[in-house]
Amino acid sequence: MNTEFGAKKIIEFSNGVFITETVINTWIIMAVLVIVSIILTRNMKLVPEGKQNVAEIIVTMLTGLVGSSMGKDKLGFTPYMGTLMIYIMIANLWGLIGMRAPTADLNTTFALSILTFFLIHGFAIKRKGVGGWIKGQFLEPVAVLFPLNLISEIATPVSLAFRLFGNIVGGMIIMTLVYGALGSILSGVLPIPIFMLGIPAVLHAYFDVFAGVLQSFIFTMLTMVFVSMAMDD
Amino acid sequence: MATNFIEMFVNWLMSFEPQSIILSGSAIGAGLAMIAGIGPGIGQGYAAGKAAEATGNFPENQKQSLMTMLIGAGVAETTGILSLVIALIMIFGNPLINQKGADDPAVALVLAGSAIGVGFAMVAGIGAGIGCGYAGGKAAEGVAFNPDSQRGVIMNMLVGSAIAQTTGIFSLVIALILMYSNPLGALALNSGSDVELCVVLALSGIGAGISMIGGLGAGVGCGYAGGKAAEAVAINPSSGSAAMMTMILGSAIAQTSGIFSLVVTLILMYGNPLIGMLEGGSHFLILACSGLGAGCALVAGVGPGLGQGFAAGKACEVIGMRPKLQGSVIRTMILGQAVAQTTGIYGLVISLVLMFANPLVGLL
Repeated sequence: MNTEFGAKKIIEFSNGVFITETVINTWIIMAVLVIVSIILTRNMKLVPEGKQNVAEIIVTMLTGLVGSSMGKDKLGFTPYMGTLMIYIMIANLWGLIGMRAPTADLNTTFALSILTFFLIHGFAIKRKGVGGWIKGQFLEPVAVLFPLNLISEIATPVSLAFRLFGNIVGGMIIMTLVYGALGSILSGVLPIPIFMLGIPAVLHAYFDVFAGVLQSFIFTMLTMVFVSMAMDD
Repeated sequence: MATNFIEMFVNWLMSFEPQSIILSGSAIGAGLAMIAGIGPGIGQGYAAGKAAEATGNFPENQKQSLMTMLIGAGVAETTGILSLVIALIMIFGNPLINQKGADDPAVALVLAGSAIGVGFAMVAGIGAGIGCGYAGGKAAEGVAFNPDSQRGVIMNMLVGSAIAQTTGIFSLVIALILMYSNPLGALALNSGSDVELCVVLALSGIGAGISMIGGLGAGVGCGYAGGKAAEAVAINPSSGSAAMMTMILGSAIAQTSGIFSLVVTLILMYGNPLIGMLEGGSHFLILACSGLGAGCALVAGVGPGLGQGFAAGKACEVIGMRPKLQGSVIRTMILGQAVAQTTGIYGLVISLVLMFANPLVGLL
């Protein structure tokens, strides 16, 4: 059993800089997303047909979601929130094809949650000014609670990052152990790998498909709610 | 000379055969893991009670209600089964005694501590058991009340239960890591199995397990929210998606404390800062106990998890009746949940202070 669950280093340069599995998988996902978007939106017509319908369904759905959870005045967030959700969803499902999910790496999830952190505070300052931002984020409901509010503002990106990371890496570790255990049981007792199909399929459905889709939704929803709450009231 | 007693105790422990220390720890761990059985017991009892009540009120829908209750009770059993599996592995196929360095008495102490930690971690399963049982009971009641809504009710119940399992699964992952690829044992071996270091790591292993108990509250809370969402669908089937969205959002926040527990456990296991402060002398005792204390502090997360789950459940209930108010209901829920998080954050702060800026060592 390997003792490391971290991402493997693929390329290591002489000056200590290295490129991990996570980065390479992220590049592949980015390439896939860009190519699919270009294909779906080529030759657009006023009356949609074929592949344009798919693109329009996705965009309408995301616009509706942003509108209902952030308010109609913040529809401008749709491109960012939509990209975030689609990227995290594809990244979470990446484990299904036997690759390492980029979101099973704390570096990815922390990068995403730090973006959320800056969105929250950046747009709060933009909308309410520095004074309104300090008052709204740190001095509510009473000024005495400042240190506590400060900690909870810092805790927000930490819990966002670890919520996604914990769910995906947890599924990954359990799947690795299950495959290992099934392999060792079957090689001793029964050489036909029939159980290798059935049992992991159920677990993949829960850990990769259910948890993966749910966590991408949760991450995006929490980002939307936190940003819109910081901008309003 | 207080230290002498501790040294005597440690030396006494190390006078045993290394394997027997690990197996003793595993025995305690296997027993502790089974404490998780409390959860499914309570939860399934609640589900059965609700189904019986529903059968009394709506005898004509007895069949659907019974079936829903059985599904809910089956889901509630999960953490109990997981704990049983962990306990059986500990007893019949203990992986720790075959670990590298298991024949070194000092490393054996670390592995024994990890075995006890495994048991403590699994205790968090109590929460998911109670929560899923509650969701199952509410769903059984809802299906009996409005059999046409069965699909939506079961759907909400299953999603809620699956979310409620999250912290239990975090615990399972930690338990499996501690058993099959123990980072603490490897660290002890790599640093020449220094006795003082090993005592710190052993207690950190127990602390890492205890910390995971903080996820208990989230299990109950998310299950409560899932049950309330199922109830909302039964009363007003058209509110299904709004109730589910509120439930998912509220549950995600209710899990914050469980995630803090995971963070502290991972720090204790993979980036233990305490061993960097070892300087010899009686420091090690303080540091070892700080590792244990850092884990215990996170048990405070039970409260916020429960409370935030309650808030999420109540929000689902009212959105079932008035779906149009979703925006303001969610806003109030999140503001309240942020306040309920406070004591959990206190626990996290104390835990981080104990690990990274331990002031107790300076007092010596």
